[in-house]
Amino acid sequence: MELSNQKGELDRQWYLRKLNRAIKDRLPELVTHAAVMGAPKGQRIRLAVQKLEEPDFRFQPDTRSANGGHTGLGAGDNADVLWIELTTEEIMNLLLEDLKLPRLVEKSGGSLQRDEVRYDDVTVHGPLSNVDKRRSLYEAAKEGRDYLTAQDLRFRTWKEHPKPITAAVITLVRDASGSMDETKRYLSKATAWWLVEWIRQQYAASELLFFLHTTEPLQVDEDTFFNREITGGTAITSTYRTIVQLWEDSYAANDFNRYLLHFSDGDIWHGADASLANSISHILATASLLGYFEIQGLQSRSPLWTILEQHATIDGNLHPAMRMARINQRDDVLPAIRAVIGANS
Amino acid sequence: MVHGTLDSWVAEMAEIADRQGLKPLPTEFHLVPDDEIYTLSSYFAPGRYRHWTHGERYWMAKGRDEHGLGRVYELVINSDPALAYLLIKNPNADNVLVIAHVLGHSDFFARSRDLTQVRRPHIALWFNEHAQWLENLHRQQSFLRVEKLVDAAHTLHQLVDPYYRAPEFRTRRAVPHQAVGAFDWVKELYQDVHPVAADANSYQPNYHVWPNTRDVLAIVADYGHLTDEERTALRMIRDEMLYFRPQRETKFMNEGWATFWHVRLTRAFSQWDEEDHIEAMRMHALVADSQQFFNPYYFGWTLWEVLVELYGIQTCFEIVTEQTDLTWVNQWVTSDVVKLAQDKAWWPSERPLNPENPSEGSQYYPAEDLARDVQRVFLPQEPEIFVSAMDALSHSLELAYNGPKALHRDYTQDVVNAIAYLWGGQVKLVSPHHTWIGHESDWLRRS
Repeated sequence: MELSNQKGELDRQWYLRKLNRAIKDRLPELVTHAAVMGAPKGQRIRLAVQKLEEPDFRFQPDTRSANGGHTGLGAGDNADVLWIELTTEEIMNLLLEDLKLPRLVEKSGGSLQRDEVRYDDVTVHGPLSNVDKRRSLYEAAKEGRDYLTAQDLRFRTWKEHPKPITAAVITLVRDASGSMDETKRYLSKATAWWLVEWIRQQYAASELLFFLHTTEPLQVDEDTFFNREITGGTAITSTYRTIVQLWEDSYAANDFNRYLLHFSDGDIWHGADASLANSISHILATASLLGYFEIQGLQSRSPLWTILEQHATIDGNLHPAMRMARINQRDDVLPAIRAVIGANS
Repeated sequence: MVHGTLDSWVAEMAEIADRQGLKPLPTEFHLVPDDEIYTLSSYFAPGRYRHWTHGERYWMAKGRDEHGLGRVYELVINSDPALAYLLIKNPNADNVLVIAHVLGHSDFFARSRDLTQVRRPHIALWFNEHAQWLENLHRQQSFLRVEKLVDAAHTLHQLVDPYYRAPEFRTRRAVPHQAVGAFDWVKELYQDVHPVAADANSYQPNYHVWPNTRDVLAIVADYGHLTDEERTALRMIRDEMLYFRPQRETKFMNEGWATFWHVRLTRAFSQWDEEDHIEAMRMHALVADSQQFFNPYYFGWTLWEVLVELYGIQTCFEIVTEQTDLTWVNQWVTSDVVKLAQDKAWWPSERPLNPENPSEGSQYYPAEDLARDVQRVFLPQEPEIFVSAMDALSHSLELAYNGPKALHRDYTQDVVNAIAYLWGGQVKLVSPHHTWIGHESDWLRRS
């Protein structure tokens, strides 16, 4: 078959490559959709993607005539939308696979280990794709030959080495107070959902803790964390104190990387007291990250944002463990996640 | 069962066509497998340069066929000799119909003046040369650079102009230097000063393009900051656009003409049985789907039938020679023609009361209204854009659009970016509604 006959197929691959890139670029707009968020693992989700187009000079579509007044002749609709199906894992891979937990250092909580495969051994049997050319030629050279026989062939093979995994405890705290309205709850849950899914996938061995808080903290399981609504005023001091206590009791700083991710609208009752300041500086000193997501906070600075910023600033610089991001609408969710757990910038 | 071979079918069809007054080009027939016909139909011609848009069409064509949503039956190339590709997996009866269809196209190519002007002997070689050139360019330069270059050239397809001449430049009128007298400033108040040259400090572009042209691609290929290989590549792409342009402008006439003739020619065909003719007509009904009125096959075919009935075949031959879709529809879709088409129940004689909700009932569709609606569909949808100024010193290019309808914001920005990428300097498009400035890097970044 001539090459010219395959040109169509080659171009199809070229097109699909471009399409993949375009989908990846536009995915953040598409996937904050509730359909993705609530979906069980492995569920296929249909997304409408704009077809790749070569732009040209054309008129701005008239909004009036689009709504009505068309004669019905030659009306083509939605031909330029392409439907794709992705599973939640695939979406996750496309979006977050390049992220890493920040400030993760090797701290083995002792028990967690995994086998790592390394090619560092040689055998005389094996698949031809693994032939070690240099060694095989060396074998022949030892016999004084300049050609290879079947006995000369050496193959690379692997050994499994146990590898310690760093242990991490990730604590998610969600503000469940009365000031969190429907939208804020949705946004905070969406953000938490993405984070939990991503952690499960990338750091399967890590431990997740879930807290809801009003004026008092409440440790819950994952299901409750995403579904239960309680109500009341907001205070943060007791929550941080409880978490610090829990960490000190069960997750020693020497053995665990500690992460605290907090979702709130920042609307807390009292200003700073000494106890809160203590907790914050303790968290910053012993944890890898205090990530704060402010959900539709006040236009100016919210009380909590101000307090955190104030206590985390050393010589005019934000403490490296302190990361904050604002989320005002759906589109902000993924950029905020990237800002908090993204590259160590 | 269809008797004989491909050769004997073609020979008989050609003979029938000759008897009926057709004068098709000499035509080469190729039987090809489906993968190849998808490729050919997505490239529009054999041997063209590679591009991802071809890949998209290939994918769509393949998907449509595999899902049974329609098939590419044939491809005819306006060349000398004309090239026709038939799908090998089609039943013989269908391919006989396709042969007749191809002869219709081939006759259209031979008659139409516009198509004759762009026809070349052995066009596949010409396309191959271009493909080779771009392939070499890919090797010389980065893949991205060439991809973006071709993409950018494609955005300008509407503006290519077969009558482009290198523009004549008007240089700025020199301001005569005069000795300054004591009361010259008083005289100046009353003098009619040329506004462009009035201010000696502000920099005025040195060249104005006259007459205004719209062929940005040619201008860019001539004066943009590009290597010579890239200039040649752009001119090749432009030549191909010029080659395909008349085909796009005569699509409805051409398909209608071929459909009109395959119906007639197959009626006289003798090498098949009754049921083969029925099978062929089944395929005809599939292609010329009357449910979609603006299917080019159906619309074109019915309009030709009516025109032949009213004005005779000679007139139709003349129309084919001289006209394009736009003039054809504007001149010939009259109330007489529409009434006859409605009487024959080819064109709709009723329209829904409320286009939003067809279930509300329908009303009589007056012939005048239908004629007007048809003509409206064929109105050109391309904004008229001109190159208004070009400056050598600052290497800037200025385009103008003066139409009443607003241009699409995003698309226009993309195209202006593309022009900036090719031009390698400042590009500006001025319209009454908005001014766009081209950003080269945005074009590179675009996925």
